[in-house]
Amino acid sequence: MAGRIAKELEEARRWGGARELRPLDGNVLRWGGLLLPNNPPYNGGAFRFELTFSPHHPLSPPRARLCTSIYHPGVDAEGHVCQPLTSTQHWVPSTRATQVLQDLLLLLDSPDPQRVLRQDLARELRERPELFHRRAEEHTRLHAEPRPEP
Amino acid sequence: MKFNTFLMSDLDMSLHRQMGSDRDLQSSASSVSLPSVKKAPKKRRISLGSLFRRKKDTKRKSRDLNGGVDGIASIESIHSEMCTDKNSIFSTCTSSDNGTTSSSKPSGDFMECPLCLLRHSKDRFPEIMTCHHRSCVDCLRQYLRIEISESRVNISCPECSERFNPHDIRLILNDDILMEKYEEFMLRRWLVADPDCRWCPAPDCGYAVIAFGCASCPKLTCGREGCGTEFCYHCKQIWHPNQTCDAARQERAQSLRLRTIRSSSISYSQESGAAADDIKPCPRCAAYIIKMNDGSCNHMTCAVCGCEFCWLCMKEISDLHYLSPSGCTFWGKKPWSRKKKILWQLGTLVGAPVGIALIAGIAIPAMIIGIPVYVGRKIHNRYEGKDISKHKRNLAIAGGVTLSVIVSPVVAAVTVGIGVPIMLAYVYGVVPISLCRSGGCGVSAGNGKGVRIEFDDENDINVGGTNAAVDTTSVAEARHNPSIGEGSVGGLTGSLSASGSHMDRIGAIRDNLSETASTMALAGASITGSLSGSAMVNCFNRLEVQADVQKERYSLSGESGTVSLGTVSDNASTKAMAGSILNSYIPLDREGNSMEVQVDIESKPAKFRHNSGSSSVEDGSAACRSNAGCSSACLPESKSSATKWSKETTAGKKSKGKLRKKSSMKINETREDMDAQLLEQQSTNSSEFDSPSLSDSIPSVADSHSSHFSEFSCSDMESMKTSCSHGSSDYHTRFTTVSVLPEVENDRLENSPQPSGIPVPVPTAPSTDIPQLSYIAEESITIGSSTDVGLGVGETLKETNNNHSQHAVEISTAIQTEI
Repeated sequence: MAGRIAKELEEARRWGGARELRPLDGNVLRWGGLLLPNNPPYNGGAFRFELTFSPHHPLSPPRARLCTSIYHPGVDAEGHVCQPLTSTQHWVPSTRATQVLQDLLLLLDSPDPQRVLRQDLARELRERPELFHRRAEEHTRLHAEPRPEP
Repeated sequence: MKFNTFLMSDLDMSLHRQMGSDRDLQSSASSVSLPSVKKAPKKRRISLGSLFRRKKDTKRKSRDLNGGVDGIASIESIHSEMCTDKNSIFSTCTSSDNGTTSSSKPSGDFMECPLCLLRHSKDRFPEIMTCHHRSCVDCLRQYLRIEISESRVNISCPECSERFNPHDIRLILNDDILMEKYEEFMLRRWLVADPDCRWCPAPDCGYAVIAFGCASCPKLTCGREGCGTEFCYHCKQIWHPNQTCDAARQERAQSLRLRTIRSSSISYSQESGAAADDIKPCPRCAAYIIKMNDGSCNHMTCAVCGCEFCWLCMKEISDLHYLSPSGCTFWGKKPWSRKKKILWQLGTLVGAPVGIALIAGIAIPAMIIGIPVYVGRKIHNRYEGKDISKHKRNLAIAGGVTLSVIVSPVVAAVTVGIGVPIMLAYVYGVVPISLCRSGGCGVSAGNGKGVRIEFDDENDINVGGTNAAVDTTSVAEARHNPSIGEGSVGGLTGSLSASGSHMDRIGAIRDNLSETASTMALAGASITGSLSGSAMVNCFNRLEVQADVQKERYSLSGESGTVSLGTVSDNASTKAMAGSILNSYIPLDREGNSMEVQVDIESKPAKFRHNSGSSSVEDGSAACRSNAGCSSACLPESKSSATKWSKETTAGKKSKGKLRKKSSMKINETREDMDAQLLEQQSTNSSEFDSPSLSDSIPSVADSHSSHFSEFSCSDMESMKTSCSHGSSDYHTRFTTVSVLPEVENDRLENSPQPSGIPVPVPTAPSTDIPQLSYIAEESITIGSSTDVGLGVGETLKETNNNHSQHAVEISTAIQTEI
């Protein structure tokens, strides 16, 4: 269903929440782009992500992955995110790629206590949020990509 | 005009004409309105069907629909009526039309397919009878192809969880070969769930035998012409006359070992590069499951039978399993050793009251003193700035303090009175229950029909580990009926019973099928342990294991509780020990008929010997006599095994004198080999019993059936995908499916609360092909961080527990090899 992916790419570009959205290596099944969170502590940087589709799209869910290192309880060291939307159990073919990206951005902006991959960070956010924010900002400053001009 | 009737094609249906008396209708003419009112209802009725069938052979449709002239007329009239725009119908009927020309079509009834995001005319959206979602026929067909090719049989709508009606599937699929495959998978799935189903062990034979009531006459013959293999009902291996299942298995293992050494062939478990401990059989249906080491959690759901179990301890579990200190965490890699588990459990149970007492002891005085002081201070401060005489102020303070002195004990008492029972309830209620019920101690509840005894092993080798399965209600009894294992410890009694008696108890594993099993011996490692300590026997009450046999299944006069040895070891001693646990077994009279008898094994050495001797006799009897009657009969028909057995038991007793708690497994370890371990795990027997009591005096008669658990033969391997239901942090799994025979797959929404994952084929895999040979599909998945698992496990557990209901689950795949 490559036709659908092409359509979704257009739709996602129209959404505008992700910058530099384009297929990687000419493979329309792999998208790359930049996410710009709006909320502190991540609003100081941009985070590169990858969205990989299955050849059976939309019958199989795409998978999102963050390439940029981020101090976030819902993202693990390898960039995998906890995203029920694209889990095999919850995936429905009527979900659009734009929605997947929106969900990812939402996760970055508001860490969800139910979607946790790093218990230590989650605990820190819960118990010492100011410390967490400070560290996250620091980490963002050090590792995130610079935000492109709007 | 008159037209000849032709086979109507959809393409031509835009125009039709109906002549009143003319039976020939042709659709090529310009449209004529159909006035006949009486045909209207008929048209409507047929319209839906005709709409749907439009995609199929039009000739057939026309023939079917046409009873005669009127039929034809009605079809045409339907068409004429339906097509407000002739062109649209015309174009939509084109099979090649993929919506690309939709723009050119007049906007008739068009819908956007949610899968391909393209617009099609409504008639390309097949009617599904189970839900209202509509997708275009091409997308649906593709979807069905993929699902069936991956041998998923619970195919549901791509947008909701309603399963498709097979009729719908057939219509949409329009492919006989695939439909056959689908039906075959369904059949296989159902067969696997049937406890009476026995697969022919011949190398190339895929036939199964549904052996109803064959436990008493366990020789089965494959029904496939040209095969005719004879095999044993209980152990499912080639027929082994004059041998017990155990003995036959041992022999087979030995010869296999020799062959392996000589030919240095790769073992099956290494075939796909997976480590041996990645492949485990489902505790209920014994289908092999491979779990990819991708960070998925340990809560597994078998794709075949749907049972949920813990990957670490391989027992069926409930949600409580990960709540209590049973040693298994969601992402742990290794279950706790028995020692650790026991220590933890004991510690919790012992330490809890201490802790609670401490807290109470501190809290109560603190509250009783603190509240009045606090109140007094408050009043003092309140009156500080006020202009009140000192006398009055003191009066107020005194009054307040007095009041609080009265109130505070009440408050403290209430707090303690509520909090302490809650904590106690948790520690002494939930923890043991979850331990017992979920198999933390090795006890696992079967499907309500019985309790399965599983054997745990300290070194992850479930050799002879016996976990008595006990109903949770019997936990209390455990206290009073220390298992033999405990006895052997020589000291552990009450406390052990309380906490882990269930461990030591030997439950009868009841195999629905091999009920008659008197041959089922509870392989209780504990039993063996207890057996070893025959001296102990004196000190302990016998464990009475009562297994409820499914009476309806057997024609035997009595249902005998089958005590099945989880671990089957060919060791006579093991058997003996197993035999010590006897539920109720039917003594076999000389003729071999079984009578129902409740056997309470008295813990008397003398009797013990006698019993053991008699039970060992049972061992000697041919495996084929593995019906309850036979096995139950401790009737001495002495054979060599008997003597061997007695010797072993004696030896066992001595060797097992060491203190053993739940790790009664150790005893078995020494005696049993891997087979037994595997058998245990595969044991699908479960039996219920009210108050299992075990006495080591009677060796398990059923040991001949113990081998029936040895279903580890590679020929039985089936690949399955199971999913982990607690995937709060792991939503993605990486899995590999190797299916030689595409068989069972996990269903997409098999269990609503804990859905199982669906493997997604990867670009490299020809997922659309019908795999005749093994294929590997890999899905790259994000992996939850396992490094953080260790931290805050408790929280994780809570979270995962909360999450599991909403989050996806890890998927593991199993390897399936063709028999």
